[in-house]
Amino acid sequence: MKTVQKTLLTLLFIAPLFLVAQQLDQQIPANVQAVATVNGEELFSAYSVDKFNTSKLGQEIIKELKRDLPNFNGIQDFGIDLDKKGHFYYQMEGEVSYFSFLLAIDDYEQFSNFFAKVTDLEEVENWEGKTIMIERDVTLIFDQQTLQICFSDLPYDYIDRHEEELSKKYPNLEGYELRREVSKDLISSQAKRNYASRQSITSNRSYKSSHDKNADASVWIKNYGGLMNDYYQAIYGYQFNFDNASSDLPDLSKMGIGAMSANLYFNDGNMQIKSEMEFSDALKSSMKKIYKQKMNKSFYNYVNLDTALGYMTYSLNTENMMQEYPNLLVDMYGGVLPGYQEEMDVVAELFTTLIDEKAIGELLTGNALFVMEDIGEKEVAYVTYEYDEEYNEKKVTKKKKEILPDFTMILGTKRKDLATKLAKLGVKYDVMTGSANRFKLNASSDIPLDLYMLLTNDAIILSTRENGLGGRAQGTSSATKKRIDQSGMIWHVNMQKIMQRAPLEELGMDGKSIELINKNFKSATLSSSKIKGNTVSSEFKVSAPDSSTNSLQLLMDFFEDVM
Amino acid sequence: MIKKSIYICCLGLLIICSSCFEIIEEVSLNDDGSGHVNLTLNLSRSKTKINSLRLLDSINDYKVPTETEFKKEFEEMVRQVKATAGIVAVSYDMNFDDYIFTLSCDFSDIDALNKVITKFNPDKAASNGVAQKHFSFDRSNKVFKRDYPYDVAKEFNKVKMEDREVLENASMTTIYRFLSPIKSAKNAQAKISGSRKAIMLKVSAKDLISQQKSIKNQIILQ
Repeated sequence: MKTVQKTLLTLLFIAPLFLVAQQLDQQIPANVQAVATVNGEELFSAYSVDKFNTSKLGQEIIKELKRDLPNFNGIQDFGIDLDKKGHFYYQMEGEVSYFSFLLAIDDYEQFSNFFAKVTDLEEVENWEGKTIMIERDVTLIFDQQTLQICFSDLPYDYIDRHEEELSKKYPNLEGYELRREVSKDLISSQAKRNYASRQSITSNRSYKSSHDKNADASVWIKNYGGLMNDYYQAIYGYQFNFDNASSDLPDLSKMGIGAMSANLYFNDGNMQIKSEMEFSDALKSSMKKIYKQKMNKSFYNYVNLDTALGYMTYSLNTENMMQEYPNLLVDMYGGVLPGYQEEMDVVAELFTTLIDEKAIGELLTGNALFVMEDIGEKEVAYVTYEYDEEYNEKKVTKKKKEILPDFTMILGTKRKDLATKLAKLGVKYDVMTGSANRFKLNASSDIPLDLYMLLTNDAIILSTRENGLGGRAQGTSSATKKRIDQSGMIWHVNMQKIMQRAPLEELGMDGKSIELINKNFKSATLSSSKIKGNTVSSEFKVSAPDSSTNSLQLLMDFFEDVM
Repeated sequence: MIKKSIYICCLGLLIICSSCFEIIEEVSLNDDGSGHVNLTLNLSRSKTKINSLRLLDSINDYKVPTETEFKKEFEEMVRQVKATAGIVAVSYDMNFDDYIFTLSCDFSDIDALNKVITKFNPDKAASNGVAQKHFSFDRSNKVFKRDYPYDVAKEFNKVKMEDREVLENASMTTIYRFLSPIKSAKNAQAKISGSRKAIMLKVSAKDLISQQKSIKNQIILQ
């Protein structure tokens, strides 16, 4: 099957495995909207080409390609330089989205041989010493060192919207033929412009600073809102234009989110994704106020996060959030939906008028901790019937065991007095029982577990353990506390502890899955920083049980096991 | 957002806990064919799961009804039962703490009883007001029959795989009382009381579906 589509699919699939040479990214034009890079040197030093070829995934690729290429023995036979960085970039030019690959060629003869056999790009020409191949949706330009592939799919209504201009340029063509020629010309022109571009993305400060050359893979987006807007226009633009309602189409580029980047690392013992998102000055100002909060130290008296099965923490300033919400509404959505700016202003003013930000901020400060402490069998009462010898029924209460979680939730407050009044109101209306500062939520409430509440001077504590309420835990490490202080939000799951504690087989998990998780995962953490400058950083980290494990090897082995 | 996150964490676990329920059908029959019926749906064993489900909008593509919606539906059914000819003294109870729901009434004859039971069947017969023949009573020969006008296995096959577990753990108990002693009963699984004036039969939904057991019975009175 010699088709362009197949070639492209193959390249799309294998591109993430390849890399190009010195500073290949200097050939990426400055006007791109997004760049993704895969660092072959890093990846293949951690997981060799030979290993990849013998993996199930590698074997599938080889098996597929051997149908056309009997001598194809592995991904090295593409002729691409696997020890170099490979790039993928996206551009939006005059309503058309272009996608390009930039890869280094290792063995030109091998590469040419491979392409000659798997493609049927009929138009081949020489252009400034390069070979250029053109098809309807794709253009390839390559020489002895580099390969550039540019492809696109014209917007559905492109021909209709440019009918007059195109009928002059292509007087003898119409329908499919016209679309085919227009597409070929646009893509090949774009590919040539990209190749000849003198201005590189490497001169872009945002790209340069966010792109870590030691990362195994990286993504950089020039303007996240702009990219989303391009996507939204591509999906819905035709319909809005058709309805003559293009002014109603939300402009997502005005949402206030700028550059975004992410770097992926396969370290010893863990896999890590670090990302950064840049916000507009208006959003920065609001977010700085919202994140101006530190976790109450006293919370650590009630729970030990280091022995927990998992936890979530949030450190936000509720009062500031309430105050900033109207601004965010106007800044973010006013720009996105310009036709509704007046409505946004009214909603924002009404919000400010109706909400007492200070009172809410004092009742719930914005610090919150949710800790999954245990999971296991608990006795639960239920009602059933017994019968005497004449089958007269008698209602009896019996107990059965169910698998239930134990958790504690702590919410910061400055208004113990108001929280107590609310709790007493709950007692009055039978939602809970108790007095002073200890309460129990009635089983008939919406919570499917026994839930106890303790009110302290600075916290509302809800827990499934009555005896666990109040000053029982010590031991959360200073490292964990420091990480929480530096973060706006953290989600942490300790897989090893869950595997130890949860009756997994009773929950329907089979032995193979249990073994796979035990072997490969220790914990997973997602955290988000407070805003620094205009940037919020996030980190997602998955740790392996053994800190010396090659995490890429582990990931590939995991896929081997599940495939 | 925090509340939602917590629910998501806990619910995943709670929802997969097994559940079960029981249906109890109790009929006291007078010699003239009139009597009293008491129907109970007891979901108490599954209350943890139901409490969890109530936090969701839908499960397995089914909308989870709110307490108000459930009450409204149940009360509508009670209204229809009350409006049935030959039915009096209708009473009902909805216990949302233990999830036990009961409905009882007096019936003047077996036909009226059949109409009441038909109300609980979600097929066309119920909406058309046509009574299905669940019970029959031959006064002259003193023969009381419990029938079941459905192919349970066929109905079960229509249920989605992921929903079947709920039904597999369910059970149905029938208790029938008479003024005259029972001479014999056709269903060997049914147990006759010491005074021989009551008979009880408990069948799991699993056995009912696999047709290993049945709630059908023919009881001959002395």
